[in-house]
Amino acid sequence: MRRVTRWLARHDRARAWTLLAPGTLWLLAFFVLPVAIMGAYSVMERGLYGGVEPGFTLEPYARFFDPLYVRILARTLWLAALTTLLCVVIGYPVAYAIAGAGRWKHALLFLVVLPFWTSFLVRTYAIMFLLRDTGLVNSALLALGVIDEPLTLLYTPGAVLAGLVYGYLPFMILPLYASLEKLDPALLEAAESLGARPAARFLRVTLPLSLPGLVAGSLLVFIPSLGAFLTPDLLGGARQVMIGNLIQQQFGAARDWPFGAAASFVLMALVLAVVYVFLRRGASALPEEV
Amino acid sequence: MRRPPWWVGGITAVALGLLHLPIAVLIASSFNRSRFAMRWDGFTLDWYFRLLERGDILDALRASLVVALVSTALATVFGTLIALALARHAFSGRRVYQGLLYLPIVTPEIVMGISLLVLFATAGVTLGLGTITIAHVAFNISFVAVVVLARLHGMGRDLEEAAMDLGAGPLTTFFRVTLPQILPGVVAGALLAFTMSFDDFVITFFVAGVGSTTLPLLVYSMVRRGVEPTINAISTIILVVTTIAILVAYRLREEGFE
Amino acid sequence: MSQDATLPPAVRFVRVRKSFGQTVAVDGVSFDVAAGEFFSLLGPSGCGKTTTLRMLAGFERPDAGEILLNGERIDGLPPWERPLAMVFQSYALFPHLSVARNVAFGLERRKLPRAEIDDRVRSALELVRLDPSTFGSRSPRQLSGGQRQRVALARALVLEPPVLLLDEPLGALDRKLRKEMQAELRALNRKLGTTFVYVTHDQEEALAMSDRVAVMAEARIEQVGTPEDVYERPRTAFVAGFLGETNIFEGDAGRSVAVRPERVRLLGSGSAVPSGFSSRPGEIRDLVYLGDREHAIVGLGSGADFRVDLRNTDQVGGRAWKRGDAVIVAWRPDDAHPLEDG
Repeated sequence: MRRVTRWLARHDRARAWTLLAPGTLWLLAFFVLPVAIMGAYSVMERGLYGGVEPGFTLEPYARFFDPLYVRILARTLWLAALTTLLCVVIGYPVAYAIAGAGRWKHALLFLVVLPFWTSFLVRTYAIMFLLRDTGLVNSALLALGVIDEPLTLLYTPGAVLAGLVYGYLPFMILPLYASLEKLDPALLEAAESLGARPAARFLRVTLPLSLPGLVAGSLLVFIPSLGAFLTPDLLGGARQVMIGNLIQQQFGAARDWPFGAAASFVLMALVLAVVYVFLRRGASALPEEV
Repeated sequence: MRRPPWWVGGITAVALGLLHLPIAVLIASSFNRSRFAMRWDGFTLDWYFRLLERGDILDALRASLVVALVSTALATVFGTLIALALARHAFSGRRVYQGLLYLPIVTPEIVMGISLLVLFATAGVTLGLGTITIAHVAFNISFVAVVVLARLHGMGRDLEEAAMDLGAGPLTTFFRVTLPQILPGVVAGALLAFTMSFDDFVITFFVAGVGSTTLPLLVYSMVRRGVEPTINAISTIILVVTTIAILVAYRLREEGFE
Repeated sequence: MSQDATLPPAVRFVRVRKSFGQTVAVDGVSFDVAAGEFFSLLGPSGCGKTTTLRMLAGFERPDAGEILLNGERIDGLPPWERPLAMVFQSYALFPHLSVARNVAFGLERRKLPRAEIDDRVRSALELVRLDPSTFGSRSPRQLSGGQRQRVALARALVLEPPVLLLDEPLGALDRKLRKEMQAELRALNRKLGTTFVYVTHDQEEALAMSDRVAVMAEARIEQVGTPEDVYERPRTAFVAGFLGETNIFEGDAGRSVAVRPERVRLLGSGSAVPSGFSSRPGEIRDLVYLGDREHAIVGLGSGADFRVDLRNTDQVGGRAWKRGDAVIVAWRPDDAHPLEDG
């Protein structure tokens, strides 16, 4: 044992890989390998009762040009983008207010973090409970006389949007808060003393300097929204299918593994493309610490 | 930062209110005799008693806890070791490895769940608590590694060098100096892993098989069958348990570690 | 110093008060700054000098009193409507903008034509001796401390403000660079005729640069005057003690009196005291060698210590003092300044 540790102490690389080995092997077996298998399946023939048949075809990918699937893809991108936008619009003032809240800062931050730690499923269900025909929203509107009969709120794009925004808002607030909190007040004063009114001060100083947080937050909201499965499943119903639901259907009722695998790869490619673009563009906009 | 204008505070109050309203309604409804949120028919614990009559809930809770504890333990060890290697050792490909570490984090859960299902199906592995645990370890390793890595980066090497200078070998240095130093990060990573595992629905949904049901799976199947007040009760229990865990974690961080 | 009796003072504070919660930061402060003057607010940290400057800039609102710029009240205006410009202690350069864009920031807010902005940015950078073609496109984080200081200065001066505010701008620089910048700031003040209001806690800096100095302590101004005034004729014990070293003791008339160590002569016990001098007997308790001079600490009978400066060139009588020597300290009555009760 002693000899081994001494040898390892002298061989940095060997020591590094000894530490990396268990986790790396696990990830190779249960992350890389399954994804590779999916990749292989995505270009194979479909089996009759699920599974795949040997062969090579690009047909599963070609099927994405079918208007039905183009629509699902477009809906997915549109909902994810709108979710991100709404999270920015709501999250920015919240992050800004918390960053400037002095001694209340930590208590308010805790209020933001709390729902983030609680079960996503429970939160999605809570939205369902609120939006259903006999839920609080409809009952309140009926009681106030705004409407005569319950509005259909569930199983609409709006419901999915509400669920996604509700689910991922804390992901936007936290990084925005982190970058706003670091903002040196002297920079704002410098802008003011140079003649910047509040609007110019915000647009020219606060906003550009909070860009790292904005980029990180948008990434953290947009990516899970793209891959959303539970939210459209529970709040969107059969008609508001996103790509995540499409994938699940192919491995479930439709029993079309190659197409499901291809859809998974399309989703992965989208996600990685988004990460790449955000990080490239974001990194060039990031002011390094002075 | 300075004091924001009043209207920013107003938006914040509304947003924070909306963030908590659905959960508040849910909790209130779990004590409401009525099935409808708008009508208060009086306080009741009925929905909770009804939960007790169902054996499957306790089974699901037990399954969730076992999976979360085992997968958290494994993921915490693996992830911490990876973080140590990345922070403390120079090896070729370190930057690439660090980049790849984020892949499991950004990969959509549905893709991860399905690909594991395909793997297990192809290999002929029987689905159950074992496959669930394997999957949870796989998605938690990266989270733990990233959290611990952040802690290690914020810490100089001089303590370790001092220990070695005083004659401590690599193992002694690790257990006496490095580990106590990074413990807050490890605990934070473990807590994150535990919550993620305990709460996970999507990945578990695909790798669970027929016989094994965790709490989120059970709640999901109840929700799918239709909204009923017992779900409010079980959700409230989940909320209370996780909130207590978070409060304890915050307290621990404030008192013991920082 | 351009003293034109017909012009109103560039800056005037009239009984300005400001408190934060229970703490009074500035307590009824009044002073005038003449146009073109280099005026320093000097005092220890927490004395209210920075709050005074920040009220002039518009970052804090006074609770009471008036602030006038060239005879017009400005205390109700937000900072962006005040024509002043400020150089911050941390420089506060915008990290996301290049040097040239930093300097152009204020001009852009004034919606000047692009060509004029470019012209003025270039001459402002030249004014602070930074080559525009080399530094203009750099990011602030690629600059040294001294260069950042110059950019901050250029960014404020490019607006041609009637009054330039400087909040301990040299604090972060090393000693040599600080001396250089002191001379340069002084030269800019003379060359441009801009009024400078300068906040510092460094008495040497204030004395070296200022036309007049306001010494502040505990939210009040203790004394305003030329460097010579406040050093040679301190009005209070605080001013005497804060500016250089001093010996404060009970004078013959029963009032506190201050004498600078360099104005005190050290004589061997038994030697004749020059006629007209005041004197006290004592014993050398310690000698501190400082290179160009030596400090003798003389214990007086009363238990008080008395410091005497011995310049290296003319140690009295050419003799070297030792610890324990019995001595007499003596000074001209003109050099002993009675102090107001603080």
